[in-house]
Amino acid sequence: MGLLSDPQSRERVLLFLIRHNSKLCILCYALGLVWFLLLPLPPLSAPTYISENALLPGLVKREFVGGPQALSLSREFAANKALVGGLPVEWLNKTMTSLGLEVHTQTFAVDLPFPDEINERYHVRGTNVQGVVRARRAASTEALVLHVPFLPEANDQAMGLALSLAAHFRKQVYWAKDLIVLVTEHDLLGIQAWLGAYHGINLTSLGVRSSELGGYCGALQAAITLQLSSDVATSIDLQLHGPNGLLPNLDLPNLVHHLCLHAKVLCTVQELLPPQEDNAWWQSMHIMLLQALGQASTKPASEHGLFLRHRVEALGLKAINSHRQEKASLEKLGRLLEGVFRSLNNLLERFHQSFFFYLLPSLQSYVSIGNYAPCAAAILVVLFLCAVELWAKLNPEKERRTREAAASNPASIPWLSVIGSIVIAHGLGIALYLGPLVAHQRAANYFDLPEDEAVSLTALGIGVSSLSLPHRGSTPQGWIWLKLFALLELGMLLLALDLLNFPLAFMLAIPTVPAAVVSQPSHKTASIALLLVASPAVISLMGLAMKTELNPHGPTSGQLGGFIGLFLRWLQCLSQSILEHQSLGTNLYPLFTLGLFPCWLQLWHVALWKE
Amino acid sequence: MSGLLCASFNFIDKTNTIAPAFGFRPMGIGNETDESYLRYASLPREIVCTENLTPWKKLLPCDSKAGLATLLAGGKLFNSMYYSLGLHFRPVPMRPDDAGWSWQLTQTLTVVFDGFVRSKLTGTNGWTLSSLFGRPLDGPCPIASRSRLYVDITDIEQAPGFSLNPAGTTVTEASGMDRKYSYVLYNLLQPSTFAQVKRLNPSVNWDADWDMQSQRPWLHVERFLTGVGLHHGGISSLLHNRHPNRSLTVHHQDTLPWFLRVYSHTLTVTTAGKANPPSYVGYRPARDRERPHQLELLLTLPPATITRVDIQFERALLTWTEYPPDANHGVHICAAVVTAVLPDSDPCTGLCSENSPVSFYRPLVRDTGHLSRLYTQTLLVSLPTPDFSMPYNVVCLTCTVVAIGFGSFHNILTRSFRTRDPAQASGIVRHLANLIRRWRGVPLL
Repeated sequence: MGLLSDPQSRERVLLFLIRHNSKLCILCYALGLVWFLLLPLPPLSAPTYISENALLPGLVKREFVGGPQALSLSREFAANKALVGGLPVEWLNKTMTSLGLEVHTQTFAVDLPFPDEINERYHVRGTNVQGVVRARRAASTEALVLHVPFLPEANDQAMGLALSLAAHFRKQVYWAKDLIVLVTEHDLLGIQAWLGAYHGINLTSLGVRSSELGGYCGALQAAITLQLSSDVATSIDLQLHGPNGLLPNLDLPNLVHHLCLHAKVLCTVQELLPPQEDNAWWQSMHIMLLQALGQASTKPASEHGLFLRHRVEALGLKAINSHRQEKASLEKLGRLLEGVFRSLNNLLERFHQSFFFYLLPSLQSYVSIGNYAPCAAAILVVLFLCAVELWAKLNPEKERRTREAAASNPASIPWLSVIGSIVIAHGLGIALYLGPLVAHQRAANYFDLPEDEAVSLTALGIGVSSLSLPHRGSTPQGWIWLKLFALLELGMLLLALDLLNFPLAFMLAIPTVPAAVVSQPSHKTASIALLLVASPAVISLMGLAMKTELNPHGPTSGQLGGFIGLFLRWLQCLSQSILEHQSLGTNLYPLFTLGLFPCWLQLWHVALWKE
Repeated sequence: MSGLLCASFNFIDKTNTIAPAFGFRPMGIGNETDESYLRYASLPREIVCTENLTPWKKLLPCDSKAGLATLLAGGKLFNSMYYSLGLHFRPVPMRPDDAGWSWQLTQTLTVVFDGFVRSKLTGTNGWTLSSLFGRPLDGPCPIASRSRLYVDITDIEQAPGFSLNPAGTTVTEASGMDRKYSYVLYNLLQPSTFAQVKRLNPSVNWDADWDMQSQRPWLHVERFLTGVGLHHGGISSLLHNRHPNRSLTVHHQDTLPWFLRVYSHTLTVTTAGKANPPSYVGYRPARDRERPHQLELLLTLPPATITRVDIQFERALLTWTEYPPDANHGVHICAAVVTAVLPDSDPCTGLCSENSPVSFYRPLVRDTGHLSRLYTQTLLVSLPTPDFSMPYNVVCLTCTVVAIGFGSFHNILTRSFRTRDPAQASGIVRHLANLIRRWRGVPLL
């Protein structure tokens, strides 16, 4: 620190920074990229282990023999589902009661801000059914949740298995925590309504009207969401991330993986086979990139995600039936789940031992936050190095010696044009955030469009039109002040995001950092080209393209290929992200419009600065 | 008391004790207990176990060697759904006309067996005394003055194929409403009870397809935590009044530990979405490490409604030695107590003896309203915890960061630096400096 408080040595540090700035910037950027590419390799990724000793996985004899019962219950459920044409609440009530569960139902109603064309819903009305297995002699202070989302076309076997597991659990004496079998309607909206009522809060900006819940079971300790649509399964896929890149405590996926190994059931993550000896790096990278893209999208991987937002450790288990030889029957899957729940029952404390921030290159290894955080930090340092250089440029050496003189002469800062640009950029960000919700109705009527398309096109319209604002500065030096502010704002935004959602911060940093550094009026063409690539729209488009490319199943049938298809899907994603922000509280849209877009607009202004 | 019952009463101290203003009036008959000595405390984390049952049984006149107490074998009792032990101590007059006092000790044991699982596992409906407790009754305790077994058959009487063997004396009592209560009584002291059978083992059976629809009690309470995360939170109680046409006045008493900083202005009571202000609010705020929050409410519950009581709190940070073991498990918050005088015809199965000086248990006479006390769920509140495994590292790291990093940066950022020519220093300083410089042999200023 003496280095910085001594004016002479400070001068030397500054001179060094200024002299070697471009080299340092390139070095840091390259270091960040290379570091990320090395993450799946052993010194940076360590083998996984179960950190919480109380879990004691696989130590108990599993006794579940309800395979045939599960099968018959799922058939019965499917038949009743077809009969009612929706969730057969009556049948569930009757069946759960006859299995000895304490049954409660909750009706809820949500009105979306605009019609959701993909899921075909607008005014949503639904019912959640909850069956409780009370632990004997326990005071209902803690509970575990087995969650089965109701899907109109699938998930019958999951329902059968959950019911027959509950029937088995009801007869056991070893429970220390209550067990809730939860059936929710309308995927994420249903579970949002239930969790909101259970915790007495609403984390979204939509009003959810729901009936008074009964059957409270105390603090929820863990939740498992089950998806199973076939009588046998070849593998279990773990679905990890929730909204805004939240992850369950690493002990939970480890526990399921450990028990899968024990039961000889193939366990995968991101629906990809575990990396083999040959080409292990690319396969691990593939899995890791898919996880990163999933987290960066801020969209939950499955219905379990909203539990994570309510601080309940949760995991989605999706059973997959492919053409592989070894098939697991419902009974085997039931025993696997029995093992999982008995381990969770052993928990003395809430999950806290293992990591909450990690990347999984495979289920056998993990990258901890200490190992991956530096790569985003290395890239983001570039912004601050560049800011130091700009600062030095604004205060040449001889002026710096008499700082007081410079400070008493603020006229050198072109306040009006710089502050004006900053205010306009942020104002447009707010307009972009609010505009689609306020103006979509009018746009839909005016252009005769479906409402969700009107929403995305409004957003696009506001975004594009904001590029054509006049870019006239008053002084030749003004752009430096503006760029300095934009760099610092962008750097702080991404650094803060790095702590919350590393993949998103990293993926935003890769294109925006070079564009931010290069942009200046003297390199107009290069700045504009780089800034266009780094614009929020293009970044999200590239993310979508990358996800499609890496998706193990390839593009879903019925989707248009090529750029037009990609663009149409992007428009859909745009309206979906607004909808999800409103209904689930994901923060991608506000982050892009209120954070990234104003920064980008300021840099755009810098690139087009005219005197 | 702790030693007598192997219970952790020694953990009761001033931090979990309150002096209720309305609840828990002394229940001795006609006594003159000074109410200023009234205290209430509970230990929500403690669980009643065999170690408490054994000394409890030893207080009985025949221990567990004869009489009804022979049924109380731990193995069967602790395999039940619910289990509770009670010890009530109160002054009663020696004789109705006498002014002398004696002390009365009442021991209660409540156990709820799981009929559902029993019928699933054995494939039969019904029960026998030996299937529940592991053994039948041999006879009364020889020194008992009263020893009776009641079987409540009020609802089950109507079941098809109902049978109860051996037959006992049937007692029927009518309540104020059109409801009738029936009990079968076995008087163990009567020689006729053991005349035909050597061991008394009543068995109840009914047809498998009968679905028991028991009436639910008028008053029902649920309590739960609200909020997400480790900073803010809330406690909500739902009070169900299920009576179709009578409103109930209830007393709601809550004890909350001091480390939940309760905001009394956030207290809201709503019934069906409308505010239902309590007729009395008694709130005594906590003092850190000294006394808990005490909240007493007198509420009127309109008929057939759910009333919701909400209060918000903020979690305080404890010092690191104050956390309980398994700190990440959280702390238990003791149950709220809801007391109400319930109207007649309440289908509760409690037995009471409040008003009779010579106390013995008998089926509840429900002609007049009776006092009912409900205990809500205990709650598990997670607290923000420090990382206990490495306090030393954390302390060192924090101090280093604060001292070196923050201190220096703060220094640099807030100080203005100016280069200063030493030659322009004042005369005396320059002379002094030159003296030293001359001595060291360096050029003078």
